[in-house]
Amino acid sequence: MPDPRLSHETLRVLRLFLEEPRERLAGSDICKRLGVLSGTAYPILMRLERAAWLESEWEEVDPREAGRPRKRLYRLTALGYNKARQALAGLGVPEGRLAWNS
Amino acid sequence: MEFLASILVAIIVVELYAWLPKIAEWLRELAVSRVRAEDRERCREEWKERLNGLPNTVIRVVDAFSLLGAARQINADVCEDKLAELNTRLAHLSDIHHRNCRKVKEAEQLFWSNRESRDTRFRCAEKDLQESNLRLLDASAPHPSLQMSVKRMQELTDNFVKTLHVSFERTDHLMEEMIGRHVIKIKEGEIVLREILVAYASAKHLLRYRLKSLRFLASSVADLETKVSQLEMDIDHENECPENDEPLAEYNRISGARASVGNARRL
Repeated sequence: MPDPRLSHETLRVLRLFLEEPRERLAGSDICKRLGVLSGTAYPILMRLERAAWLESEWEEVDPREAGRPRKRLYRLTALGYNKARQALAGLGVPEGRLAWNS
Repeated sequence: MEFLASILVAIIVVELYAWLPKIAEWLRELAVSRVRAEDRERCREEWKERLNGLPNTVIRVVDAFSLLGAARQINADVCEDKLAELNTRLAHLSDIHHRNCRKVKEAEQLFWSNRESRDTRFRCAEKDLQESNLRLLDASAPHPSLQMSVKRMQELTDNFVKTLHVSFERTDHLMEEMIGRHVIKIKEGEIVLREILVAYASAKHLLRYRLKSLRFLASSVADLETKVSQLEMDIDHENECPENDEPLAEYNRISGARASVGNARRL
């Protein structure tokens, strides 16, 4: 599988994952944190998952008990972690949480 | 009048606002129906969770509307991935096809050169045989009974030479037929390969410039995938094991028979 297209928004998504590489994020959380519409975030997540940079699984809750649909949680893979770091380093983008925001 | 108009506008606004959740749901379902079947359930649940988490119904509609774009982008990405995979498969097939072409050409050249050298050697052997027969006839002239035997042997040798001629012709014909069949298969494979390459290039062009509906393009890509799978089988048969070939089996049978005749003569 070739590397996915790295648009500006894709890099933003990757940087978000690199801030907390072990954290599992739902599509809705990513939209909220980046302030983008679903139409932007979901195709990126699916593309990164097809390239095996991300892996995803359903949240372990019962939708009836939780009173809401399950979330699909995404996490960086080892490949994704290395590739994302390379991609951001290549562009000179600082990875991880910015001191300003921490 | 103004009072009535304001009441009417208020009613319409309230009605519209009340319909917004339904519209958002309808847009979401429309987007879900546009992604490929295997992703539908996942997208439905994931997108529902996202829309439910949004506080405002207007924002929800805007976000649901953006899902139509998401479905389009996801379809385009899937088509792109499929085309990339098909490209690799086509390159591999093209390599195999070229290798097969080379093999058949080499086999054809080998056949003609073998045939030529065999015929030359055979003509020399025939000439030597005739000369030695003549010498034997001369030598056996004083002994009539021996001469009779020599003449009988000459007849047998002539018959054997004729049989060899016939068997060579038959073998050559069968080999030519077999090579011809492989050449036809190679040519047919090449035509299909070219057609598929053109279809691939056109699908890629359509995808690049979004010239056709992605759903239609997805079906074209699926069609292309089927054709490539068929071609993979055809190209595999292009190079089918010659041992399975009927003419070659016939050729082996004749060679065996010829060897037996040779052995019998030696005995």
